Parts: sequence; structure tokens; C-alpha cells
Amino acid sequence: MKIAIDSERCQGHNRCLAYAGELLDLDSRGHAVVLGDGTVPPELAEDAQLAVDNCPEEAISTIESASVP
Amino acid sequence: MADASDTALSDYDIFSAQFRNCPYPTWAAMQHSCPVMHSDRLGGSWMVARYDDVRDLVRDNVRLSSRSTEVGGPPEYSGGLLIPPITSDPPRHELDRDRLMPFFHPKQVATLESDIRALARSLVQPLAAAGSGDAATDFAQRLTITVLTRHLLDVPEQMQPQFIDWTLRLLREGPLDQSVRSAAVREMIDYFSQLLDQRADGTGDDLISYLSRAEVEGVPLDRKTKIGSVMVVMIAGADTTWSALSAALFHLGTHPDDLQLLVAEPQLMSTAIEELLRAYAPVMLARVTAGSIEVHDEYIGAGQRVLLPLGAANRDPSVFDDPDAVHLDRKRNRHLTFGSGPHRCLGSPLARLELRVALEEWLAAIPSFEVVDPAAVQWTGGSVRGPERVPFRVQVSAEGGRP
Repeated sequence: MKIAIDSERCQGHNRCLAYAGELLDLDSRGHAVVLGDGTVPPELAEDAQLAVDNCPEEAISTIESASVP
Repeated sequence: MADASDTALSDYDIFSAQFRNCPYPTWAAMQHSCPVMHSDRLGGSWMVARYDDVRDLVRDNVRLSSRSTEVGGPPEYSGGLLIPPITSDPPRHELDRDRLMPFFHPKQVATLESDIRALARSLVQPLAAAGSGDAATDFAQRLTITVLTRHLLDVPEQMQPQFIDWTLRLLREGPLDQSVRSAAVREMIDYFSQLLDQRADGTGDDLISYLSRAEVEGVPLDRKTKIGSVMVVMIAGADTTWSALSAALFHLGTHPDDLQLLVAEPQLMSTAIEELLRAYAPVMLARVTAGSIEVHDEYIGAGQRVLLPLGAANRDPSVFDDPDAVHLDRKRNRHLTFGSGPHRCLGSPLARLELRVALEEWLAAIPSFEVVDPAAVQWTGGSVRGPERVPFRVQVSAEGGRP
């Protein structure tokens, strides 16, 4: 699973950082950016989903990788 | 067949005691059967209440202009209150917002935590010792105003009563009486104008000094924008935060189970704050239609005021389970308390920090308390809703320790 942020939609609420701080960081404008390539380790899958579910801008999504073993 | 809710929906009066003290039945009825309403009061306005409508309209800075953002008074912009970026439209808006961002970036805001904690502690300790007080005026209001005067604007603490007075006259009396509003605006402009002049040659790192030196492409920023950008911090950062904090303490002081839960399980603080922000969202935004728009087959002409109550969206049952109940552990909580879209509240990181630190310090000093006569508490109305007073008394268990 990967987490992705639509930078056009993100307005910097920072709700996602409270749940998925290990997967995300802030840019200079206070908007969320994905760390690395956004791969979500299985133990953080629920946190990633909470980041998605709490974003007031609907700017975050998770994408299932096609070939997860 | 006519019933009570039909009667309630013939008109709305956002400053009536009934609506101020409990707007939720009106919003619930609107969500159910009348998603757009009009009132002739206070210069006329339209109001929506469903989550999707509030969200879509609050994000739309093309069809809706922010040139006038007051909930009452003449809706047209006529040399009115300029408080960028709140009152800015594209393409100016982004520039006006980004100019203030250095003061509200979450990492910058986080540096204030220890100062805010010391302040919260100094305010709550005398209340704990006295055993009673007013959580709104003795704590929430003073905390919020002190953070503004001390840490953002660097103005003397003696100005605090004046700041509270300006805020109340502008936001609470202003929509009902334009002469009160104008006088408050004039006094604020004069005061901040002088401060900008005094600090223009200095090297201060406060917000006023920073704006006094601000430029756009090598040319000094225009004076109206400088003054308005100082005023916006006071207008948007005072009443809002103290209302949210007062409401949170009102809730805990009237819901002993929630109070005990939060004291016993402090790890819930993060979801608890978002839940209290959801349930008691203080802000009702106002916009003006740029051209005519249509909402649920209702035609709204150009230049009309549209009210966007964020607290209504937050209790829409189609989005939130059990919306009228507070669940401190609510994990899925896409509330709109700080708005949505380009006008998202710039100060939200500071508001959240103040709420968290204030509640932590309050509960450490006063883990058990109750609001005295909660039914008598009056709530403010208009742009910002919160309990005017939260009279409380400390409870001590029979053993003399924490219950």
C-alpha cells in the first residue's frame, strides 16, 4: 500500500500528521508531503487510513500495490 | 401537515436567544427538509446547513466572494472592513495568506508550547486555589488574548481589556448596530496604524514589525493591507479560540463521564480535542455571491450574503454517526471547524496548541469540577458562538483527593 497527497487539494490542516506522522512531513507552507515513495508498512496501514478519513479536503488517498506478496 | 419544525423553518434569527443558545434543532430541520433558507433580517442572508453544501460553498472562492465576511449589515463592499487574507479573493488571496504563514507554520507555532503552558498554569492555579471562578473570562479569554498580545503582536498587557472590547463590539454588537461596528473599526485602525509607524524602522520580530517592513516585489506593501493584516490576527484569533476553549470546558463541566474519562486516559486528548472542536465549532462564515448561483433549485442573485455555519456541517447525520453526541474517542472526524479550501483557518495550528495545552494544564490542576447552573449560561451568536460565561466550582472527593 502507498499513501499519496494531492498537493492541489491540500490546504495544510495537518490532520493527517496527527495520525500518520511516520509517513508524512510538512513543506515550507505547512502543507503535507509524503516521505520517500509513500510505501505504507502493514503495521501503519490503519494510521494511513485514518489520515485519509480525517482530511477535510479529501486530499489523501491510499493505493493498494498490485503485487504485494 | 404542519408541525413544529415547519414553523421553526419559516425564518431564522441568528441573534435570537433561542438560536444562540441552541442552533442545532434549526440546522437539523434544515438538513432534513429545507436545505436552503432565506432571512430578511440584518441586511438579508441565505443559509445552508448540510455538510456537502457548507463544504462546497466554503471552498468556492470563485462563485462566492470574501469581500464582505460579516454576518449582518450591508452585504455590499463599501469601504468596509479589509482584513486580508480573510477578505481577499483570488489572485490576491494567496499572496496575502502566504505573507502571514511564517507566523502560523506548525513548526513555528510549536516553539510557543512551553510559554503557553507556563501561561495556562499561571492562570489555572489561582482558580484551583479559589475553588471556583469563570472558565471563560478568567481562563480561556485571558489565555487567548495574552498569547496574541505577548507572543504575536508584542503590545502591552494593559491593552488586553481594549482588545476584548474591540472584538466584542465588532463581532457581537457590530452586526446589530453599524455605528458600534464603525467606531470599533476606526479605533483599531488608528491604534495599529500608529504601531506600524513606530516599528517601521526597528528590527522587531513580532508580526507588526514584520508587516511594517513588508514589500511586494521591492515596493512597500500598501498601508491598508498592512493594517488589515494586523487586525485580522486579532479579530480571527481571539474570540474564536476562547469560544472553542470555553465550550470545551463547559462540556467537561457538564458531562462528568467525559471529564473522568479524559483525566483517566490522557492519551485520548488528541481525538477529544477534534471531537470538541467538531461538536462546538464556533464559527459561522459569511460570503457574498459573485454572480447568481443555484443551490438545491433555490436561485440566489448576485451580491447576496450566504451564511455558512461550520457547526451545522459538523452535525450532519449523513456524515457523522450519532452527531449530537460527543465521543471523545471518535477516530473518523472530518469536521469543518477550521473551514475548507483556500480560506482554511491560518491560525488553526495555534488554536489546536492552545486548546491542548490549556486543557492539559486545567485537568492537571482541576481534575474534577462542575459548571454552576449550566442552563443559565448564555451563548454568543453571529460570527462566533461560545458560552459567554462558564461559572464553575471545583469538586473535591470525600477522601480529599482526586475522585
